[in-house]
Amino acid sequence: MDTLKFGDLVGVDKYGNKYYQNNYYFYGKNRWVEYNDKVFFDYDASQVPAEWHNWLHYMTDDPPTTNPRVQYKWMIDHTENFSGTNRQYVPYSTVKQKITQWQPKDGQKIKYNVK
Amino acid sequence: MLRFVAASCKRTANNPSCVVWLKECRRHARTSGSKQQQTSAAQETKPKLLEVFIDEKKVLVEPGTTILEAAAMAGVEIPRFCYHERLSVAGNCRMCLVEVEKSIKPVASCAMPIMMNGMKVKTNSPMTKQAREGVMEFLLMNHPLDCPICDQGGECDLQDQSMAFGSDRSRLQVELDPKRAVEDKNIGPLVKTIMTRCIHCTRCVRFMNEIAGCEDLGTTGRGSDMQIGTYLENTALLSELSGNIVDLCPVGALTSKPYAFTARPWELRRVDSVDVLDAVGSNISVCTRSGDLMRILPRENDAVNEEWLADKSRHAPVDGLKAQRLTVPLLRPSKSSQLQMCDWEDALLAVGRALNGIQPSRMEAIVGPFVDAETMVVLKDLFNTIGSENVYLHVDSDLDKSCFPSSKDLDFQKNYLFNTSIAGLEDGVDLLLLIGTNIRFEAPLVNARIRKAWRNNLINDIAVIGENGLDLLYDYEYLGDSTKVLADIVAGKHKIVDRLKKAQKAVVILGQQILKKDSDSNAYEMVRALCDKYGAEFNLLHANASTVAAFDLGLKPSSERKTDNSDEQSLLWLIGVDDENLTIPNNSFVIYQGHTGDICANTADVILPGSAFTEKQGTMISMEGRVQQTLAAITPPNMAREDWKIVRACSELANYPLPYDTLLEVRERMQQLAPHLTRHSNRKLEKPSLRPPPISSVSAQSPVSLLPRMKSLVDYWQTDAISRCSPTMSKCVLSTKKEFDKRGIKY
Repeated sequence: MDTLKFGDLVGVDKYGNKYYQNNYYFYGKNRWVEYNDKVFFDYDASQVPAEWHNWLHYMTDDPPTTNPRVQYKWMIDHTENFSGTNRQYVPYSTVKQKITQWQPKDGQKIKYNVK
Repeated sequence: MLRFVAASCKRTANNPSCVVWLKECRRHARTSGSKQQQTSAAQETKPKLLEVFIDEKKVLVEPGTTILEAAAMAGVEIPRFCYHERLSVAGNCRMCLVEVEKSIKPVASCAMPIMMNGMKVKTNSPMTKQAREGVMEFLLMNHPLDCPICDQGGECDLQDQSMAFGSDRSRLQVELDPKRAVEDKNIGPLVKTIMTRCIHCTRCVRFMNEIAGCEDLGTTGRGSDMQIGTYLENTALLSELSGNIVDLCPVGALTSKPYAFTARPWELRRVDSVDVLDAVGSNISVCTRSGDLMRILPRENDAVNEEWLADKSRHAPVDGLKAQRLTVPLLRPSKSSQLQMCDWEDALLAVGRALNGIQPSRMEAIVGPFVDAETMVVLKDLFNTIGSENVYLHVDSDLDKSCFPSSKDLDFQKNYLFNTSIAGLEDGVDLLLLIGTNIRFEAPLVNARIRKAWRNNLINDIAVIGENGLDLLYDYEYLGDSTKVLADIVAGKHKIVDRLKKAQKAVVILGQQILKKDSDSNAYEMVRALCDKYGAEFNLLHANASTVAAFDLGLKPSSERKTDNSDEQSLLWLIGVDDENLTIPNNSFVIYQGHTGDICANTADVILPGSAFTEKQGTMISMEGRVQQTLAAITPPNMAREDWKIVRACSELANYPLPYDTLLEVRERMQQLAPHLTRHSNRKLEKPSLRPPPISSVSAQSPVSLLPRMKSLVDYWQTDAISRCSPTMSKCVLSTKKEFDKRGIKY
């Protein structure tokens, strides 16, 4: 990243990020990721999916290309961190609302959350 | 029994004891007192002014003025707990002790009249200071140290005065002499009692007996066994003014129950505003914290509410405006479907389409009880530009429409105002005639004013036509309930006629909440004729805050609506109107605009969420014609907007854009229509000078009884959309009913 490096392409993840390795470099610098060109300067560490995260951080030496992860049905798809964007997670208030909304006698329940 | 107590109460007022005499003197000293009496008193014996020296400052006072008042004139404030200028003098807290030269002992300045020339008072001498410290020490000896959990904390007289005048240490040894503990009393859903904190100033007892006219509170025991209480256990105070004892209590013994533990005074922002729950126009200050309405307190205005506030005005908006609010625009896509949430754009487009597509003659707009003058101006302008004249003020369908002025009476302000003015009730009224009104609940503070005048012997002759057996808190003569009595008086055949003729200032008050009977009466005309014949002052006691502004702007009462049965498309625009029996024309497109969804919102095709009086700046005109404004204390919830802006936006989408965008521009327009509507002032009251032509003949009609809608305290609490939504008011209804049942009073 942001440096001139040479290495072997180990694999490409579903976002198009490329993972490299070159053991000529010192341990800790010998594995790196090159983000998809599409994201340009908007790259972020959370764009690395979990399985590649393991390899990139030396939790395992087997990249998901050779040893793919077991896919359980309870696993959800990885997403990047959307904080600061309009897709960010907003927790809903568990406090009772100060003002309650009128509900028409016959009709759907009218809900309105204060943003 | 109540009547007996009231009479005995008056007897004490008649008794020329020192206390009452002092009160008389005080009244002469005040400018607001009776002018007539003042001048006559001045002619008879012009009191010689006496010299007093307060801390070597010379003040000239009338004989009989108390030292405390003289000190106030000199700009010296003497600490006090029990003394209150609107209550009788008790003199039992001893905090106002001062040194008077040539007197061996310190003197209670609130009860000491100045009768001697050259009296020298020292409010800062070592003797005075020591006396105060001693009183403070005794008070604190039995006062719990629970300020951190006390609701009065931060606005407590005892806290402040112990800081300013107390000793820096206490000699109390709790191990040897434990603090007194007193059981709490249950006195209803509005006032919370923590009796251990009581310092026995008896302000609450005096207020309830003297001003509220409800003799439930009293003292039992003496010395350190003295207790304030209701004599009987679990007695709800049967009064519509009981919330005021919370303000009066100098310590935290009486605090507001709905407000308990919700906020601290230093967290609150206060915004000056005007009450809209009745037509009195009481001055209030709205206390909010971070966009949340916390409480409402009265603001002093001698001409309107003095420093009191009715319980409904004080408590109903605080929780009533937090329930059942209209916060998003709703739209019914077709007649058969349900109301659905929508954006402002959709709602406004639907209204715009309707305003364009429906014949102007088949459009109607009705404004309800809380609507401000700005909204009415904009609405009227919109309807007039479209070509419709049908802008009405709502009149409840269960009321007798003939007690209201008709549109032809609206040319003269004198025809529909409370002409005597509220303060004017204390100004030499010889005869007071109440017609078809339960004034105690329709305008509690006006009634308190009448009671005050009656107690001070300023009004001695009160007569009532209407409901029999009303408990109005003063003695009155009951003349009957029928319009026949009125006809007799007009014809000169009734026994009261002599007194009416003799009276220099006779005041007639006609209620505006008279229940409808099978046949219409002609009460309004008849009362006008009565006043014209005997030269009495004509007064209408309005029940709704918007009425006078609507009449000033030429809105007609909705009893003059003409609805037909044709199936042609029509439009009905309701602003804050809630009435179960409202006539809605067939095939009508109903727009409901307002802040609370109550009754009529269910029938609407479009709901436009408006704002309540705490959320907008709006002009309100009280029944006496006082032009005041509410100020925005909080923002309208969610998508709700200010009412006049909504109407203005609709005009844009209906392609009749109105030529104003800001409040100032609306008020400029208002000035063109009715110049006095923009001269806001809490203090000044402009009285109309034009006299309407007198009514000489009244058509004879069969007698109808004039019965007010509200009979007892049970009916008082929940009368409008705001108070019906308020849980506190529901609790009041329940506790009042329970109390009535217990005492065997019918309601």
